[in-house]
Amino acid sequence: MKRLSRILALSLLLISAVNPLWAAEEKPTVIRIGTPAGAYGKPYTTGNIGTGHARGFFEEEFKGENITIEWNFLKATGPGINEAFANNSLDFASIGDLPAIAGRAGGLKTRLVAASGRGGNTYVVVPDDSPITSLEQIKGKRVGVNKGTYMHAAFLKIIKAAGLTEKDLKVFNMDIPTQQTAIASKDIDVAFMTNAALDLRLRGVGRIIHSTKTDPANFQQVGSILVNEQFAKKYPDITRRLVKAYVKGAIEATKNKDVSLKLWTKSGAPLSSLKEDFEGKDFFFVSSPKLDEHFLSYYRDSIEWYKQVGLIRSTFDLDKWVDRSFIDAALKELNAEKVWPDFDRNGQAKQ
Amino acid sequence: MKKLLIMSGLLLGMAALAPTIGAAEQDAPAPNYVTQEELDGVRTEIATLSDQWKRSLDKSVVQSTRAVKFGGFAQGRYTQSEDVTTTDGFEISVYALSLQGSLRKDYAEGRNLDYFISLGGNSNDFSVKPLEARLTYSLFQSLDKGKPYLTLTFGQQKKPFSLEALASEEFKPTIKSAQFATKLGLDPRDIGLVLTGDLFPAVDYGFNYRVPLLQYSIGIINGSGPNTKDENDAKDYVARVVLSAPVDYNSILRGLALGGSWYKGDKLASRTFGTGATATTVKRNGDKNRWGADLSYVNTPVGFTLEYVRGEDGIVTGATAVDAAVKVVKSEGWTGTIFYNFGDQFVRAVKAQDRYDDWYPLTYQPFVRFDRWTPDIDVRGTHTDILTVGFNWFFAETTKLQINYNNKTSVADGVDDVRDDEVLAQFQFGF
Repeated sequence: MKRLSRILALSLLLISAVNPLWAAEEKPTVIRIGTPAGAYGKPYTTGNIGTGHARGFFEEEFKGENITIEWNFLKATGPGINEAFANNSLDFASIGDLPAIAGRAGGLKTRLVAASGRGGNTYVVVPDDSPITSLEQIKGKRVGVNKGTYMHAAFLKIIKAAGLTEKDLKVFNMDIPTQQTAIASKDIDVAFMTNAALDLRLRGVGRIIHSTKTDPANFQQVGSILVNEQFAKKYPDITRRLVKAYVKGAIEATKNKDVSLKLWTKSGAPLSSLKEDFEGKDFFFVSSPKLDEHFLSYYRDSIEWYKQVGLIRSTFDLDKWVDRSFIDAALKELNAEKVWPDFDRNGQAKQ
Repeated sequence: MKKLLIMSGLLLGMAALAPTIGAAEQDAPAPNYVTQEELDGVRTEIATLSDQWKRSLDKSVVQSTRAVKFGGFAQGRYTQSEDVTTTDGFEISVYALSLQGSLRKDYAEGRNLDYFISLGGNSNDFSVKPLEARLTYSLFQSLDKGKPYLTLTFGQQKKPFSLEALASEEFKPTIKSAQFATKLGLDPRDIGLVLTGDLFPAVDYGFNYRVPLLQYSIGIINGSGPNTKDENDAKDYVARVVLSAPVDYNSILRGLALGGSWYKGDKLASRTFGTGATATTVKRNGDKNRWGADLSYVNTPVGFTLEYVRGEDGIVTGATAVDAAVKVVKSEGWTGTIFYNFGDQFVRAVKAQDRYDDWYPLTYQPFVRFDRWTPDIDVRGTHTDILTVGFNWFFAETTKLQINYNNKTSVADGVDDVRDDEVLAQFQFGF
């Protein structure tokens, strides 16, 4: 009995010691890609990475190499992606600007390798029969916002422009599905959310009183593609190929706007909402993956502003975070250097 | 003439058809338009589906006055032990069915009134008894992470004492509780009122992470255990305080916490003197006090816990019932555990995903624990040590397999050490 027990105990320790997770690999057996989950509970998303996922560009890139692409649609959105990076549970992700910057400022070891969707709108929605018709009237009201996400940053910019501060409001931290329910049940008076607000209007339970479509360009979010720094160091060529697959998605999203919008309805977002959200937007601007002047100046300004308003505790050097080697190599390989113009800090195409 | 008649006939025919042709062209729906007929058809479909759904709801769907969440779990265990007092074999160490929900839901601030009821038992007698029955009210708001929380719980519930007794599986990888938790009666529930809250929460919104600097619990309970009336008029008091490092999620100090627990109570100590017809049971009021300190560091994937607990229990001593007296016995126990997680079992963000399949992150967790119990610190050299080497395998959302090897040594002064090793394998599933 004693001998058997000792053998069993030693075996248990050996199993954990030789766990395949510990074995060093030339190539990874699994590449874990993360993206925020949508408001509709479906394992699809929008944007360049949504196109790349739906079209299978990532799987196609690594076909026949015994590498599994694992997709993770995190309900905790940007903060959830940071949590996953912190626990080494993701290798590559699409993420909003505030959580990306907050993660890096908090010491997360990631590298920023491409732009992921520009001009993301934030909508201010009230219950359909609410007497509120303007931003000034939300003073003292119950406001729902998803803190830590890009909507949080847009919320602060929007209320500041309306002459308000967070202290003038009763702010409740809620994710999008909870905000939708709370607006429908009138448990909050106002919500700051994504184009899921258009769905509320479509259902007749919400009314939009403001959107960042009419605000300055820096009120609209600019997402990014991050890679786990350790992963990028260990697998630089794999990282380059991941960025290449991502750029293929960006090319398709740019050149086929209508097809892309229909593809993005797989996330559960109604086509009418997507059409309205992207109405009038230049898809060359929206889908450009390039780390151009517009992108870099937006992020540089955001780092400073987020520190000022207390969203991050410390600033950091953007140049040390950005690694443009992968996007430059991908654009060259795909002969796509001229697909998108470089945009200046105001979002205008440079000649 | 004949040609004229044919032409006239043709013309008349065309005239007769023209409105139809024109009308057909006019009636043909333009692309992307829905006709009135199609819309009426959709309305009829919806009405039919609504009717079917209502009848189905009436006939074959369980209903309740308030929303109810069913839950439950069971643990099946196999034990092989060298201890002659332990029978080798299979058992259902615990099974439980629970109902929980909200009696009043406050969507604006989260000052909810919630209930939790669980019934369960084990394979010793397969009886079903209440495990927990409690009402919890949020005195403070509970939706804003940046503000403190405070709840009041009444009913049969876990006592807020000790890290070990309250630990979730993230902190306690072993199958069996530490010896001090069993010997000092910390595991069983009790009936009473407990106030639980926290102060100075630090929130890292970039990671959706909240950690209060101070957590506290204060309770007043019967002190007689679960499913029974109080054995005396005196009430027991219990309190616990935990100080946590108020750091950001990515800090190396995340998960570091120092706790202290305190329990003051009375018990009815009893002893029977003599046997048969001359047996006399003497009962005396005695102390039942405990205090403890614990340190934990759980920063996935690595974690360790360390805890010390001291107990003071009044017992009836004496040679006969006539000279019976109460003596206070001081006992102590301490335990230390270290573990490592391979996998995302304890990464909340990774577990909460949108997926079509029934995916769950596989996780393996090896660990080592040392556990010492000294029943009377005044009796030198007498204690029981258990060294546990174990492995947990989390392979589905509510299911895990655990294997523990316990190297158990009972030490007494002047007597040879007694080794009673055991191997336990436990399969836990829930829903």
